[in-house]
Amino acid sequence: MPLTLRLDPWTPTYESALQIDEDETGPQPDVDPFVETDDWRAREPQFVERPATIAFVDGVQRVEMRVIGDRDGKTVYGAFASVAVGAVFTRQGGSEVAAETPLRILALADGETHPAVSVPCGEATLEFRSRPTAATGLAGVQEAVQSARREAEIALGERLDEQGREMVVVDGRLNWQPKRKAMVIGLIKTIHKRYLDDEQAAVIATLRQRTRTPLFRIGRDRAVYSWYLRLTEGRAIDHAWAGVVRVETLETIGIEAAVKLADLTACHLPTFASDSMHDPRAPQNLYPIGGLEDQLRHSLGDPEWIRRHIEMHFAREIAAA
Amino acid sequence: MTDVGRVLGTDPAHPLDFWVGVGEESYLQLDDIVAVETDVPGREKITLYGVVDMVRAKYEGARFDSDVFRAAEGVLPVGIATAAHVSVTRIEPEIFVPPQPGQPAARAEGAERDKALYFDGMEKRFAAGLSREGDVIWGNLEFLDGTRGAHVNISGISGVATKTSCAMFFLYSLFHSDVLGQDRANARAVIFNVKGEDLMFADKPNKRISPEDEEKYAKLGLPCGPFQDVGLWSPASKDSTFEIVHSLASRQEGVTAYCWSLREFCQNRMLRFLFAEADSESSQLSYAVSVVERYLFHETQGQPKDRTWVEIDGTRITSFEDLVEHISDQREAVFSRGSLATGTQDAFLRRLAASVDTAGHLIRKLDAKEDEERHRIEWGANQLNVIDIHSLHDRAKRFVVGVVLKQLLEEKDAHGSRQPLVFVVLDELNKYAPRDGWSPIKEVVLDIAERGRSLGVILVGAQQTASEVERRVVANASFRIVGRLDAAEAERSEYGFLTQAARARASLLKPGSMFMHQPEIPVPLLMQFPFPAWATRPDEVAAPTAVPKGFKS
Repeated sequence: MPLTLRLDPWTPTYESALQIDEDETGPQPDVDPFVETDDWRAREPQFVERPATIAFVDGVQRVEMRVIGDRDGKTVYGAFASVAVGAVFTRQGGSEVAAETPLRILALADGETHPAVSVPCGEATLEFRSRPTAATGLAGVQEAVQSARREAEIALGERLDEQGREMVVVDGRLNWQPKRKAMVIGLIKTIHKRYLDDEQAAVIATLRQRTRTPLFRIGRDRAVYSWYLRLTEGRAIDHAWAGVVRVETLETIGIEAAVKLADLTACHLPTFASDSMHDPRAPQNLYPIGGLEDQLRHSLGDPEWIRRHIEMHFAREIAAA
Repeated sequence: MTDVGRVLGTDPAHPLDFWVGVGEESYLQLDDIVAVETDVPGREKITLYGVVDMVRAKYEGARFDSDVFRAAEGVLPVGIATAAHVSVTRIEPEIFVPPQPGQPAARAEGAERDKALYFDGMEKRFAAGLSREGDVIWGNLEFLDGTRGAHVNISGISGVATKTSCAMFFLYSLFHSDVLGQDRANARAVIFNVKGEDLMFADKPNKRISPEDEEKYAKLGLPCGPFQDVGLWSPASKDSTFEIVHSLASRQEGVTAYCWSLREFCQNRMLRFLFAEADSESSQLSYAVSVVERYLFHETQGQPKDRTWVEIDGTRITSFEDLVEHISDQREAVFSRGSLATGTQDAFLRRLAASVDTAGHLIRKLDAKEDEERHRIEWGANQLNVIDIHSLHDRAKRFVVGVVLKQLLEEKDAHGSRQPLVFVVLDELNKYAPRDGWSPIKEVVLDIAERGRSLGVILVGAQQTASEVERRVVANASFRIVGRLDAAEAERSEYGFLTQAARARASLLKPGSMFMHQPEIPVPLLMQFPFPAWATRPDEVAAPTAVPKGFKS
């Protein structure tokens, strides 16, 4: 059979939404595809009422400037970085954004620490607190920034859960344990792992808008129920998995609640699917999340401005020494 | 002062205008007065005052027009940003720096508002109207009474611009408050009633006045009632053969019929005002007019003042018609003192004959000298003198306006002092002082505009379009007021005192709302005047009460 080509609709400056490494080695995840049904076909969801408020949680991160440290001749990688997390509460008739104060960190690899650096920046002073990580090299710096964001996201998610929010949608994998039996789901835009065998995976391509695959269980330290659903009908020119997201919720809520939640997401998440005119990662980057990210990124401040002031800070330090 | 927002930093702030971001819990509307304090390094704090002339609101975080629907469904998170543009009126002390972005902006009230609009520095101020929020808008009397400036010019489309009501309110405010001080009793006004019989009830209280209107008058510091000292004049009816009666239909009592005797007509050189259409100054016709005027003057020079008819060349003339006939018959004698072509003479006689029908009834023989005085317009007799000309033919209108203004100016000239002030309200200035051409009335109006300030004759002129009025008349007015304007007219340079936003609004001003510009305040202010407390129609006349509200008994 000749090679057929289809388009990946995401803007190329972002990585692809589909990044399955076919040659992946190592332990395969423990997946049970038959927790809901043995009959693997695209499922029309039972209609479930949309919750009055849905909270979407997300965070952004930005490296302001990289630094190279030197300890006794050993190179230490690090970076000044800004992180911000926030939530959008969407309800019929309007939505509101609650953004937290941005976090300024000095990410350092190899477990190094440094006193906080105060950078005067116009009317404000930015205090970059050191955030060490055991990981090494440039990857360690990346890890330190990411973990800072993840922690802040989790803290916010937990807080929303404690506040008794009806439904919370977290961007990415669900890495924390909700205290209440609230509807907390993780929304994964980028498909990295192949959890299903060919036979079941073939169902994903057949999904229509507002349908989902049956639930499958992924065993890991916090086991989850997961499913794929299609947000929008792809164009004929797009590849078969375009417009598909994976959703997960913790196993602890029970299979019945999970099925209901899966139906709810299939019914209502497509409402939030973005348009390619609007978002380079449409439709998976949902409107509320895209809007939140814009505002969070804005709340970090002007990158040029911050860079200049970090440079000025160092210049003064050196001049004073 | 209550904070309403902060100075924006995303739009540049200038010393003369800036944007204010409006706080979520507050609002700013057009015409609101705003004050912002700002630090000047090394100097004291300054306060910038200004008037809001634009307000905008928009989504932040939305990129496409269609985002409005996503936002409404709650799908796309957006914020709403409201901002108001402030035109600076005053900086105190005068250090011309922009306000610092982020400085709190407050709504100026009370004394701060007075400062913002320079009301605090007005030693003598009169109530010109109310703002939409019900605060008094003051006018500086010094720019009206001739001390530092004079004259008012009002523009606006007929019917919706309420130009006459505005002028009447000004007069009411001046005559019924203490601003004129001891000169108030002697101050006079002459107003020509050009439309309907609207002004012929100014001495009667208006029964349609509501308690809210009364409150407005109280706020303005004015009593709420009719004009207190009114003289009403209406042209002698064409039908008055034996007894001279006025021609007003809707009112009988309290109105005096006016006309002039043939003697006055000849001796006071009134002929020119029968030929007052705008014409080229050099035209032969105006020469013919002056020749004939001189002739009549010379022929009647020695006649006793107690005779109301004239004797010319031994002929006793007792009606205007006879006079016209005599001139036609004696054309050789009449025109002997000027070298005029026969064609010009014919043209003159043709027009003179035409005026018999239109204005002839205003120039006649009267029974006695007392009658002559009784029917002559005495502008000094009452404070407000309403002269009805609405029913007259165009030519007769010009005649009356010209004669009255000339007489008024001559008397003021002879009197020699500025006080007491005389206000002349003249609508349809485009007719009396048109931009192009020359006419004897234009000469008088121009004279008032240019010398009135020192003579104490204040012109309150009105017209639909200032662009059609002699430039010098408009330019000499210290107070410029516009009501509803045609959109194209509003763009003309005559309205340069309007801000861009005010121009746009001028085409949708409601009756009773006007923009007023006065010399001290750099932006035009929107003002409203209260419903007239005097009747403007027969059915508005209220039954007289003992003492109208607010007047001393």
